[in-house]
Amino acid sequence: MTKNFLWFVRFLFLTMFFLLELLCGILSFFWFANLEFPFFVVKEKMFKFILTLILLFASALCLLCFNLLTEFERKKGLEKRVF
Amino acid sequence: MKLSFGLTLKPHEKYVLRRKFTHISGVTYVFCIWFFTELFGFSLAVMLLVAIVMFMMSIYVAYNFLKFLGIHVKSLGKLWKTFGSPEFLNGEEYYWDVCWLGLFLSISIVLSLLVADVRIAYVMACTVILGDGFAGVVGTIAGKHRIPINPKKTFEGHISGFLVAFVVSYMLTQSFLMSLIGTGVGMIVEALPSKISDNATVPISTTLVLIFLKFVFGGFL
Repeated sequence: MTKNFLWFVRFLFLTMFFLLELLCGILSFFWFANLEFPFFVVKEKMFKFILTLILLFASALCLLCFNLLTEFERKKGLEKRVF
Repeated sequence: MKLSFGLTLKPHEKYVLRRKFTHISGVTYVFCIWFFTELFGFSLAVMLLVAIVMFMMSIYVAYNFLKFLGIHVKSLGKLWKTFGSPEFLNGEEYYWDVCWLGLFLSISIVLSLLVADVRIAYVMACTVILGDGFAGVVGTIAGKHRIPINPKKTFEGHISGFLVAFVVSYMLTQSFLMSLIGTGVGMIVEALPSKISDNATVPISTTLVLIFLKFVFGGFL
């Protein structure tokens, strides 16, 4: 596995995707249980919904970028692996 | 698991069937929308559903993340294969289909929460889970007439997928127009050739069209 610049960019997007979707899951579970996240207190209900939506869109964007870069790398023949 | 039913299927068709049956098993999501809404109300139900989907998805993402780093967890790999999610199938890649489905189901259900209409969530979930699932199963088993713009899909599959999704969403929403338009739009989008997974395009298009119609026609839907 060659670790070129593109590999690190893909790694960054995949990590961000993973962390964002985990954060979204944790936050929505906290809000479901009517708890406040210790260092991020949100009182407004509508703001919670919008923030969940933003996090979901952001993680979808990260996944899209990761996929596009993977496809680009495969087309260029830089990476022989499936990813 | 042997899937023959007296039919002669090619190996990749068996995989497609398995994938689609797994898809249809997502009907538990529709049940959960109803059950949690009855239990906690729509807004808390949405939060709980988003949390559950994200946590389940994170197992799959963690598996692929490790694979990206060169660490193969074989037991999880076998599990995905059992549920019909091979890495490559008939020249196509299915790595992130699960994630697209999870993400866009969640995005769509939060959007339907923003307009406070659980019926949109029902129609969207029925279209992507039952419509897509039955279209795939019937198309693989009995599909003969290919759709000209997308030769991978068949008319038989799409019509049956549309009918199943429409009937179930009508039973849940009691709104003829909403079910008809929502499932119709979803199945048309499903038939279009797209570079992005249909698990992403179908729920979001169905939801956006229904939200738009709700604003235009209001109580008429």
